[in-house]
Amino acid sequence: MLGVFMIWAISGTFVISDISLETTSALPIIAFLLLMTAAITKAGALPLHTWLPTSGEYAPASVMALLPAAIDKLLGIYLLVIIVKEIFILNSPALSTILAVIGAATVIIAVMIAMVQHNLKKLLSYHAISQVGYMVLGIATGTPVGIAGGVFHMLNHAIYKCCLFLCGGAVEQAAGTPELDRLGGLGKKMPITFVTCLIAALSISGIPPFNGFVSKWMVYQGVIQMNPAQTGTAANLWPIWLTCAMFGSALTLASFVKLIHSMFLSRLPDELKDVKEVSPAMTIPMIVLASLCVFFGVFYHVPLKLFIYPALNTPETSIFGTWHSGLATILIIIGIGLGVLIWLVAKLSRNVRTVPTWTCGEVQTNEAMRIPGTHFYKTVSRMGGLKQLYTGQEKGYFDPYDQGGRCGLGLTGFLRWLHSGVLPMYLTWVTLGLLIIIFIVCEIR
Amino acid sequence: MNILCIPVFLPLIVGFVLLFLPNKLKSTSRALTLIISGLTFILGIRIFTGGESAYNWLILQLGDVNLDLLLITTSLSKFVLLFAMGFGLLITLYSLKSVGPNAKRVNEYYGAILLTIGGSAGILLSNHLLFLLIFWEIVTVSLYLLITTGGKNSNFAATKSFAMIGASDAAFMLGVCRFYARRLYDMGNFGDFCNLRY
Repeated sequence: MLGVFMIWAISGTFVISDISLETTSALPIIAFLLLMTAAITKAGALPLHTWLPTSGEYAPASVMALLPAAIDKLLGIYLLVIIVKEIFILNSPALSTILAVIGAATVIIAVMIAMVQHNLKKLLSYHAISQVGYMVLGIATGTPVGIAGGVFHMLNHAIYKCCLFLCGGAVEQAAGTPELDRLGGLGKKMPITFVTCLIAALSISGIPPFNGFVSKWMVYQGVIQMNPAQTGTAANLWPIWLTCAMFGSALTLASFVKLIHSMFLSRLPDELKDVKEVSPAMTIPMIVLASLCVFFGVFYHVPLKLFIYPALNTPETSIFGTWHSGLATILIIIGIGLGVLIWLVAKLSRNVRTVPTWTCGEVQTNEAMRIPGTHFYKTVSRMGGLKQLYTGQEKGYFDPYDQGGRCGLGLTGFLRWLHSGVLPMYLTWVTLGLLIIIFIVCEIR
Repeated sequence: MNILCIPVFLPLIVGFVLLFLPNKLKSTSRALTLIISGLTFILGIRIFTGGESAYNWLILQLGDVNLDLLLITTSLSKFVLLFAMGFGLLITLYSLKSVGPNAKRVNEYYGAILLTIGGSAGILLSNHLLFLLIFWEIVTVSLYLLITTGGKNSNFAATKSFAMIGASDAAFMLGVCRFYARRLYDMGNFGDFCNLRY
């Protein structure tokens, strides 16, 4: 809000379409940074992201699906685009570098934390943070393809993350818990939720031919095409941004392998044997969103031509090299079909006897043989450097809210110490204050 | 009423009313939210398929001082609006079953959903930074309300979210005072200062 009033002070108007400020002097740069802070806090980028996982842990899944996953992302990134394209002329290389650093750091750090989460909604919340990094990075590139990619990713993210939270909500409602180590084997019990969640998980992981792949691909192109004349140092550091973006995507896939295994593929716990698929009122929104993930990926030209290019006044010809989504989709379907065929042939041709697991001289219980997905990346969480990161994150060392709270407590402690109730102490402070005022006044004169 | 006003003010008004509805009218709030979110989605489609339009509503006039609510559509805002309204409808549909009949604070939940829909439409259509800020805050408050419906321990999460998202609001007052004093000093004319459109 301070940023808004700074803009008014500089431009003399509150009307957005009448404002166009160069980011060449201090005041517009400060105003830009303040507005950017508001936008990225809403969207959930680092370092003001910590409200999102806390909310994810306690808020209903439908709330997380509506606001942090969908509408907050749309509004936050919408504001960022308005700031970058309409209110300001982004011609300061330093600002581009700041945006790129925020974007790349958000992608990597958030996904690293997401990997070791055991709570379904908290894990999804960290991925909601991580994906904002791609949007910010795309916009930071300053290239038409990068900005279009960032905005397209905003839309795609809203779709698949909303779907993931709805699937998570459905699982939580059916199983009664969002804790991954208490879930498993729900794929057969909740097939619609499983398939929609799988599609959304593949989309967020940037697997072709789904929508997440297309927008990430555009962001990568934007990063490679960064122009040093426009973005200065940020352009010279493009290999770093690209590495962060691509590595982040790989880690996202790793994280969702764990999630899908934990919820749907591992052994079914005994207490979840009576779980059933949720009602159509809950599955219909998931199906709609999963269908959009497929449609916006396979027929990516449709949303780009219909929504993204007109919204950004981007010429269509300036975007994309070669990506034949139709051919790739056909080949992927053929590959999956062949795999299923081989599996069926192998299953039908073998004569296999299934018996309970027998080891150490006794038959093992179902619970003893369960391998929860939460065990997948324990090694990562114990690695040197990362262990400290995870411990610090758990203790709230990187949380501005916690740190602000600690500073506030320190300040109140100090004030409480000052207000001891002893009259001579107050008189001492009054005298000291008077002396300081006299000193200042004398100095000024 | 202009078509741009309906997706903004209809959900806001109905959402505000739902917040205070007695608990026994849960079914009414469900039905109203479904109808309003469906209607706003249809309006979102109409606004998206229609041409660019604008709406100007003079809210305050004191002498030379004008404060107008400016709503405008751009290619960017139209497509984001379409999807924001779509998400609103899908979540309302999902909530019909996920927020069960035995859940507490159902009316508050649906009221906050509608406030979110109306506030989002306001942010996307507003061409005036002050109104954009007001709608921005409405969405922040509705996020707070929605998180608190999560039950035990959700108050802490809601307060944290509200504090972090609203952190810049403290700077707002500071900004007002700072620039109020500066502009008043520079102009020596209160009327010019308050005239928000130049």
